Formats: sequence, structure tokens, C-alpha cells
Amino acid sequence: MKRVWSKLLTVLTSPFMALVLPYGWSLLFFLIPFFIVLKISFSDLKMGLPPYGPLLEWVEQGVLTIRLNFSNYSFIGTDSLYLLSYLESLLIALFGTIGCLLIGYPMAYGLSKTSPRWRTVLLMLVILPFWTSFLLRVYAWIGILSPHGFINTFLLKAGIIGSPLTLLDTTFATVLGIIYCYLPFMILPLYASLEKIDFTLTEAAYDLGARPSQVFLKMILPLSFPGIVSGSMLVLIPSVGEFVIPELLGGSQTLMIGKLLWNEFFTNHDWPVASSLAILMLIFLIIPLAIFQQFQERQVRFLDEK
Amino acid sequence: MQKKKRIEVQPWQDTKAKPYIHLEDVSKDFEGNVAVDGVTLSIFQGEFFSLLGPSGCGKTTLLRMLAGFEIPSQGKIYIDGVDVTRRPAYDRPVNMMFQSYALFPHMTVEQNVAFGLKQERISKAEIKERTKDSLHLVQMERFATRYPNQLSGGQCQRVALARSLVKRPKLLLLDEPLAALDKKLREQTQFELVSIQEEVGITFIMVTHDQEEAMTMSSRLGVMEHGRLRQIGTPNEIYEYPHSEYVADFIGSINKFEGHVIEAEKDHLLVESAEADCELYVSHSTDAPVGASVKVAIRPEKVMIATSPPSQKRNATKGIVKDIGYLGDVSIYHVELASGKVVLATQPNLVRLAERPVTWEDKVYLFWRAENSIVLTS
Repeated sequence: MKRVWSKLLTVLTSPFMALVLPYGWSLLFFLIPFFIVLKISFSDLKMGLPPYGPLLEWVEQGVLTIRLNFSNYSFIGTDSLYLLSYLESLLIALFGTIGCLLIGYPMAYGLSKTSPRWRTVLLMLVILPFWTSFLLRVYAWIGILSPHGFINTFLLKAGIIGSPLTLLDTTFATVLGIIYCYLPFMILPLYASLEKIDFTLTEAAYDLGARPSQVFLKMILPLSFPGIVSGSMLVLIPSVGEFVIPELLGGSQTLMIGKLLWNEFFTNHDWPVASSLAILMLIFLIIPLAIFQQFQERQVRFLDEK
Repeated sequence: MQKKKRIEVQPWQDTKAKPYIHLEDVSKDFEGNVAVDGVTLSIFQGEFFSLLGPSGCGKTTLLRMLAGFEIPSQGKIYIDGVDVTRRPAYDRPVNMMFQSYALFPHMTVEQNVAFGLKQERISKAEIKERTKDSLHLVQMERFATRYPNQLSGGQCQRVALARSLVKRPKLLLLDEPLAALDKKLREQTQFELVSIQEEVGITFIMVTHDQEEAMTMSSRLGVMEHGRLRQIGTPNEIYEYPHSEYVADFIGSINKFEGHVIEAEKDHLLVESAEADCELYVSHSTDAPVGASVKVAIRPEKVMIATSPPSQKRNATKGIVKDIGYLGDVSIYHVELASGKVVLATQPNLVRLAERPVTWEDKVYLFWRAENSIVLTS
């Protein structure tokens, strides 16, 4: 029995397993589902279960035919709704990312400058929102932004406004929700790269006559660039496909691709179109970003230690 | 070849000379921990001054106050007659070469060197020219477009030097400039650094814990202990005439004999020492009166070894060779006296090891000249 265990342990800790585990995981939970979605995107819409037709079909005398239905893709091209919502998603995600960067950078910088004792406490505070449900936190914003919410009640009582402002069910609310929910994903990689910066480099810059603003622009900002890139990716990519936040805060006028996907799947029951939409989103969003990130990594390689 | 001009009177000996860098009773404490304690120091233009001491003696803090990274808790710092005590680092005519070199990793060698110039209102053409000159000075022009992580340690050191010299500061600070280099390269770089300093004529202040480095490179050096300057002098003065046991011990090794004064005259001192097993005659005077306990010190290389008794009675003793340290060029003999005291004597290896006249357990006589010993009163 003991020998079996030790043998198992040897196999599990072998370098081979170190490769198999991540790749196996990707295969099982990314690549296979991806091919299923890809398959559905090329099939016909059908009433029934599953609501799409097969790709492969046996015709008489043992002839196997493949039917690839491209009409789902061409349909997406004909209706400008899809393109517009894709662009809107991108724009909202972009604003959300910029917002996160503007708020997150000073916070991450402050974190990297505080004493180690305070740092652990402050880092805990950054992660603390994760301890409550994501849905609950987005709901809380409804309470803050609604016509009878905190902000409007306060402004009305203070006499600054006469009638409640429309804050909820706007694109603004969606961006706000994205900034709020994704901020920790921006702060943590930023903090990690800011904390790594050798402070003697900034001293050297001061010593050579650089004023504080120049030290920030010429030293701290470029040296924290890897953190800016990875933080922005962590915010931008998931927020483009975000569904919960625009659904709860954006109302009917915000058209994000995630909401559209939901509608196609659950309201129209058109799985093939929904799948093509998902595939297109992947092609137009993930692939350019992956190439960009590869390029960036090559650019900042000289920052690494020898 | 042009002969180097010989300066007859050194500026620190000239009472009328105006110091270029002046520290006046400078102290620094960090939350109650005194790092630098009342340092007063004058350094003259063109000097290569070294601050020497063990780690934690306050030498780096002193350097950082000169650079403007720390503000003194007390005292004033003047550079070329201007009070810079509270000026920020970017507003001082001072540049620093960091121990870690602190080269900017996201900039090429050329951009690193040009960085300081770009902070001033200098034309692009001049920046280019001066960057090139500075890289030429340290023979790094060929590497102008490389990034720091593509350079060796020695090359990084050169770039750091070029970067700190390019602004032609009034004062260049060097924080353990050679500590990161291996021994061979370090020795070679020592001389190069000194010749570059002579070429540019900038005043250098170097911090080091390596006494050999401080001795070879500096015009003068200051030995520090617990935030205080114990002694300031030329390498020769510090080595030959240390004022205190601390300084004597810190620079090189030294033999010390305890004893008490039996004769104190204007031109000499006579000390009776049971430890040395002889009377010690020192040919300089001190303020120690007759009867006072003092220590007489003699450097190992000034102690001579003989197999037959010397003609002199004073400054002469005998013992048994207990150990011989062979260093190639010299050997260090550990000789145990009758009192149990072990005296070190360094002798050049004039003959090969096998032909050496003195060996283990030999009875030998040790003696030295009166003018080579010193009295340490503190």
C-alpha cells in the first residue's frame, strides 16, 4: 500500500505532470467546450432538444455529408445591432478600464509606499469585497443610484436638485459598476509591479536632477508598465463580455454583447446564432489582445533580471 | 609625457585655504538611533576623500546627507560656500554613483548617461556631444545602444561612472563603487578611477569598508566609528600615526604592548612593558606623564627577525615561532614571547620556501627601530 502511494506521488510530482495538468485543464475546460460552441455555430436552427441540427449526416449508401451553415455568421453581418453592441461593449469596457487605471494606480502606488505592517491590512481591504457575493454588490449600487436611492435623496434634501437625476439604467451606471467590481483586478497587478521597482532607481533619477514629476513620468510609469498592461487586460477582457452589470445597472438602453448573447440563447432560443456571436467575439477581441500582449512581453523583457 | 605637477603645500595643511565642501557639526538620528554624531569635516577642491569604517558606522548616512537623500537632524552642509543643508537632491551640484549602480533598466546606455543632461536646459546637440565624451572617458562608446541587462558588472560600473560625471558636478559621491566587482577587476579599476578623477578634476568622496581601497585611492581619508569621525589624514598618516587603538586596528594589523611610562621627554618616551619583555623606546612625545599606562604599537612589517641577538637592548625581545602564514610574496611569522604574547612579524620571501632560515619552533629575536613604533593613548 505504502509503495503504491509513493509511486503515485512520484508520478504526480514528475515534470511530466507539471505539463499535463495545465494543458489537460485547458483541453478539458476550454478547448473542448470551444469546439462544441464552434460546432453549434455552424449548424441549423431546429425546434427541439438540442435546438440545433447535426453537422454530420449519413445519407443513403454510406455517404457521410457535412453541412456547414454559414448563414448564422452572415445574419450577424446583416443586422447592424450586433456590430453596434459589439462596439458599445468595447467602449464601455474601455471606459471601465481607464476608470480602474485612474483610480487604481494611485491606490497601488500608495500601497507600495506604505510600511509593511500597514500594507498587509490595506491589501486585505482591497480584497475584502470578494468576501461578499458579486451579485449582492451590484444590487447595492441599485440602492445607491435609483431615483429614490442614496445619492438622489441626499441631493434632493440638500436642495441641490429639484427632481431626481436619472442615474440608474444608464451607460454611466454600467461603467461605474464595472469600475467598482473590477478595481481589485487592476490594483493587484499594479501593486505587484510597483512594489518590485528598485527605489534606488528613483533616487538616482532625483540625483541626476529630475524633479518629482519627471521621476514619475520617466521612471515609475515606464517601470510599472507591465503592471498597467496586465491589470488592464484583467479588467478589459472580462468586462467586454460582462452580463450581470449591464443587466442590473444598464437598463434597456445599454446593449452589451453579453446581454445580446443571453437574449439569443434564452429568449430567442437561437443557439447557432448565439454561438457564432460568441465565436466572433473571441476572434475580434481575444486574438488581437493575445498578439498585443505577446508583443508587449517582448518589449518589457529587458526589465527582467539577468 | 607631461609630468604631474607636484603640489608643495597640500590644501589641508594650508590654514588660509578655503574648504570646498564643509560639514559643520552634522548629526543624524533615526527615531532615536544616532547614525551620525557631530561630524565636522572640510574637504578641498579636487580631493579624493574616503570615508572608511565598518558597516553601521554612519558613513553611508553621511554620504546620503551630502547627496540630499537625508536631511541632517542638526548641523550644516556647505558646498562651494553655499548652504545646501535643506536643498532637495535634484537641486544640488552633486551626483552620486550608487553601490548597485542603479542603471535605468528601460533605457539604453546612451539614454542612461543623457538622462541627467535632459533635466537641464541644454541643446540636443550638446547633450549628444557630452554623452559621447562621457562614454569615451570610460571606454564604453561601443555599448551605447545596449540595455543594462546586456552588460557585465564591470561595464555597468563604467556606465554608472559616466552617468554621474556627465553633469560635471562640483562633488561626486561614490558609494562602495567597486564592491560588486571581483578582486582582479577591482584592483585594476581602482587606478582607473583615480586617473579619471585626476583627468576631470572633480572632488570625489567615496564610502568604503575596504581599507586597502581607501589607502590606494584617496588623497585623504576619514575613519569612522559609531557615527563619529575618529581620525582624518592622508593614508600615510593614518597608517603610520594612528591616534587611537581603533584606527590602528582598523587599518592593517598591528602589535600592541601594554606598559607604563618610565621616562617622558620632549623627544622620546620610554615604556616598561612586561608583556614585551623589554623596555620600549619611542622617538616621539605624547601627553602621557610618567607612570601612565599606555600601549606601544608596531606594525608587523616593521618588526625584524633574526636568529642571533641584535646589538640593541631596547625594542628587542625574543620568542618561539609558533606559526608561519605563507602568502606568496610575504610570510607572516607568529612569534610567542615569554609572557605568552604573540607578536606578528611580516617578512618578504626573498628566498624560496625550502631555503627559509627560520622555521617552526625556532628561537628567534625580534627588534625594531624606535621611530617605527607609536604610542596609543586611547
